[in-house]
Amino acid sequence: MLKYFLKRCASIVPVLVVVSVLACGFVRLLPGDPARMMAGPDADAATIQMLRAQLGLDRSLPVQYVAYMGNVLRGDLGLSLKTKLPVFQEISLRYLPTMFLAVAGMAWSLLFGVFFGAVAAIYNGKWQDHAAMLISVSGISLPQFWLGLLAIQLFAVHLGWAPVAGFTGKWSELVLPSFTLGATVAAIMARFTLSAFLDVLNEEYISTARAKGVPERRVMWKHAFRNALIPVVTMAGLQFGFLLGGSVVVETVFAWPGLGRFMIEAVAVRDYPVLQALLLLYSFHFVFINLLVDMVYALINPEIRFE
Amino acid sequence: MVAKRLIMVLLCLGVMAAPAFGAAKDVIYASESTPKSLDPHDTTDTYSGAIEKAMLEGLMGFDKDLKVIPLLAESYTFNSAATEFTFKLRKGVTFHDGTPFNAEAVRVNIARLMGGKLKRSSLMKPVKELVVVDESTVKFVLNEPFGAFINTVAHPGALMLSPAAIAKYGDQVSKNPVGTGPFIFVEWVSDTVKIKKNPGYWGGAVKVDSISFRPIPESGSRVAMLRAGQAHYIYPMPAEMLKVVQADPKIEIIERPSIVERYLILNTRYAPLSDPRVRQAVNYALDKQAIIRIAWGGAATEADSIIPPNLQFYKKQSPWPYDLAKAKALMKEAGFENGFKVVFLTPNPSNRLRATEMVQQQLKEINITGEIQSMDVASFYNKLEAHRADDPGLPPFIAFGGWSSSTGDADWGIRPLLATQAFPPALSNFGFFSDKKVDELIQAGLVSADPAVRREAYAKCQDAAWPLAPWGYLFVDTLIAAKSKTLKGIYPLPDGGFSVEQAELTD
Amino acid sequence: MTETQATPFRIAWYKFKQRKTALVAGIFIVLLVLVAVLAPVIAPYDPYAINYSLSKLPPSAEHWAGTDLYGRDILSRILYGARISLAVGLTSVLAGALAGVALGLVSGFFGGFLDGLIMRTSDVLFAFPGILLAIAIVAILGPGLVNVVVAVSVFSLPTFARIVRGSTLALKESLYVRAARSIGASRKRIMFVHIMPGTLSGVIVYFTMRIGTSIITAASLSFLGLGAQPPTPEWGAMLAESRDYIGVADHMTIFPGVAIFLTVLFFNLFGDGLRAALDPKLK
Repeated sequence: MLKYFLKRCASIVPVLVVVSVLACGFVRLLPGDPARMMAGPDADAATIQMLRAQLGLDRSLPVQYVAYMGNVLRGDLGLSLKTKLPVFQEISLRYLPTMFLAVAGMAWSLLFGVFFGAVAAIYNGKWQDHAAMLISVSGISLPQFWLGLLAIQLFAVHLGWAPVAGFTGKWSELVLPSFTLGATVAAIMARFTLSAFLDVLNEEYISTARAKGVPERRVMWKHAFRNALIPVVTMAGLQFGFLLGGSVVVETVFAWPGLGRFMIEAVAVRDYPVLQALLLLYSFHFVFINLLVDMVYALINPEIRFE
Repeated sequence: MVAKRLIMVLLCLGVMAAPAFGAAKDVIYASESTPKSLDPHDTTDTYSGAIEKAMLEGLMGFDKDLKVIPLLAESYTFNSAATEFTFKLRKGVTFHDGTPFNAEAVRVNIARLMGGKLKRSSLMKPVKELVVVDESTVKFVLNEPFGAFINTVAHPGALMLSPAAIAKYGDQVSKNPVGTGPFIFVEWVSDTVKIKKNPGYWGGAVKVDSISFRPIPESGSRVAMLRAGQAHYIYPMPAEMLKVVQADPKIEIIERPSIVERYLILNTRYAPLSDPRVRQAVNYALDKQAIIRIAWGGAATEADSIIPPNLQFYKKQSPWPYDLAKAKALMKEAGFENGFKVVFLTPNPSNRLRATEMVQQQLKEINITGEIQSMDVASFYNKLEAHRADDPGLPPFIAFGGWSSSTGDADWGIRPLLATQAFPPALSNFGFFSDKKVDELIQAGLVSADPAVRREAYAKCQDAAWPLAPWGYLFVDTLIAAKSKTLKGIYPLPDGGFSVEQAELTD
Repeated sequence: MTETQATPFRIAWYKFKQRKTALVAGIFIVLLVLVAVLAPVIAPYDPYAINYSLSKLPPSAEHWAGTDLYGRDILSRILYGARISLAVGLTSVLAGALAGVALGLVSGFFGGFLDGLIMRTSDVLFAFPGILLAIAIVAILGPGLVNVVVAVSVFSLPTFARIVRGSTLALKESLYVRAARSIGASRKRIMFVHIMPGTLSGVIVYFTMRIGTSIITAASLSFLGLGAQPPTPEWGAMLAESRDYIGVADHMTIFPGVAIFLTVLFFNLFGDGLRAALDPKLK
């Protein structure tokens, strides 16, 4: 088990390296001059040149990359060109709201998505199947910003059930934005659950259980559902990783102080340090979650470890 | 390093877990913009400046009609040459951190501004030195006569920070402003600023416990917050949604004329736009009434000078009529019958986007075509501020700009925008307009303290600049804010800022 | 009477017909394509014709869907918008699919280092949430529909590659392919003639679903100001620019919103139906 864990950990290193190189390179592709931006309004050519040297922008790309990665490993992500504050600070301020939103959104999507998917699988071919899939697919057929705005009008303004927008730390503020976010992911989860569930239902041990006379309900929940959950968890992990990147649209409609909006603002001003840090962060999330999910999978299904 | 990170995370958790405000009187102000800085000496936008003014005060200030009033200075005198201004400071005032407000405090602040590194340092350019006469008297000695110096002193760029805070935080004072005002800074987390009541405020009792400034850039969401009772005051109130809000008995609408003028910044460094005939053609091709009606929801009046009517020394010019034929003729005369390409730059709040779209539609008629690039307000200004006059590939752009003179005076409404010395990064002449006669007249108005002389200089300046069409003239905003009827005492100021000292929540 | 043979196609068609929703979806899609193709003929007005005096008119006899902010006929813009959405959807997904299928085939077939390289690269691409990748790409290339197409194809690529690689790996060891190899068929022939068709069912299903996603992505990008540029009558842009008028002139948001909703919904249902039809496990 430990060997497998170490092996998996080792395999993520090349991915991280590739990603970090891409992140640095990608950000350089954006037109604009960071030294000029950093120097601010007062700067003359000499100051800009000095700053360029200070930031190391006059060195060759590979050298810059090594220097940057060295700093990252020490926890220094540089200063935001726009606000002059440490990138680490800027990101950490927005990380928790993004995390909360992602978790809450995931909760909705699991609640509805897995439920509808399971219903569709159990009642395969009958009207419940169609109804469930129809509802969940609707979630992914609406542009998120429209869904969000309509949700605000209905639930916040007319019914007064939830706060409209913004995040000051109250749990109720999570309701509408996470619902909007969740609706999209719910559709994905529903479809995935349906197919995973059906895969399992066709396995031999299910027919064996039925032949043995196990009540249908137990067959469904104890045998089928539990085993279908494994790939579902994998998919959920994947989606969660995406949500951790922040959702720009939901954040804009609900004035949510998250990483998605932060990224789009950084892109607009070519705030290189922020962009590089964010790209690294997203990749890290993804790789880490993949790893975690693999580990869970391996724990449950020992066969995998011996591949 | 690790400890610092841990503290950051705990801070976040602490903020997130913070209980709701409870039964205290907390006002929620929902805005469109996000604050860029809380260091008054380094602030260029009205919104940040207005928040600063709730916590910090200057020697002079403005009342609700933008007339200059004494604030931290009780009185002032100046010599006949307008080169020396002496202020008698108010006694017994302390900063929120206990530091006494006195001449030394003023000296520290002015020295900081004069140090030249901050965005508002240029405000103190006319000053040769600041003399501390005694503990409660200071004297500004100017390089040259400057009639509007009082207005400069009242500008939010000259607000007074506690010297102890300056010493302690240095440039980070932007996140830790300490002043003498009715409200004390609590926190600035993500884009939300929270301030709380200053119980020891020298100017009288503050009637609310705290105010939170929450940016909700999406117009629909902002209005929804007001309607749902989750914000007490919103600004701007989008004019296109007035119908929705007017019917609500719990909401009151405030409309005021403003000194915010909107115009199209034309990049006059770029060949076709450097020809005044082309710029005039642009003005003839713009159907401003339509833009006001459709893009701005009717909440504006057509501009008829380079400064708005409510600004001191405004002189009405003859507005450019919408005359497509004349526009085409001018383009032909300038040799650009087939037009040219530009980039339309605009900040992304929806009304500005709509207006730019209409400009794009209208200029197409005279063959000026191009794509629209929109971005958030902060990025928009960053982009414009980054251009330099000698940039080789300076792109041909038409940018949707606006300005309000935070001193209430014509000088600050013209010089930062049209003077040759105001090219970025110094000030905000983003179109690089440069005309010798206009420069001379700006200077003439600047150096005199005699209102009659200034009036004449500015009249001539407007007469000279208007026909040269440095901009595509658009309109002057009518400010519209909306508030819950339970809130009293907050109102919009003509420059687009706001006043919150008298805020009061009734139940 | 001769017995009809139960060919795979016929089985699939039968199962497809069973799912009424999928059938309805299919019909709608055909109609949509027709509308898109015939738009210039059936649109009552020029979708770009501005008339400020006709701003924000509710639906009427002259303008069945009303007019938008600048007086343009909404119905005509919706019809032209159908062309744009379909074009964007199809080209972006097609591009992603072609690239993805090619890479997946190569990756699965040859294995080894090439496989590792391709899979790692697609992992990296896959790591980014679609919309953020799209924003990043648009940031470099500039806003506009063409770049939206590029962005969507890029982030669709990894999944296509993965699906095809999976099927390729399975099929590689099948009796069928081993037989072809033993006869001495060339690798290229094996890959394209023997393996690829077997991967197609997975590809087709994902393809249809992706069209829906690309339309939604284009709409979201328009909302952020990065997608279709004015005055393009793209549905997402129409929805985004009218959102301040919810409650004031609802027709301006309802028509493009419903158009997007129905189109994406039906593409998704169609894809679901396809999957059901092609998948032997479903009843």
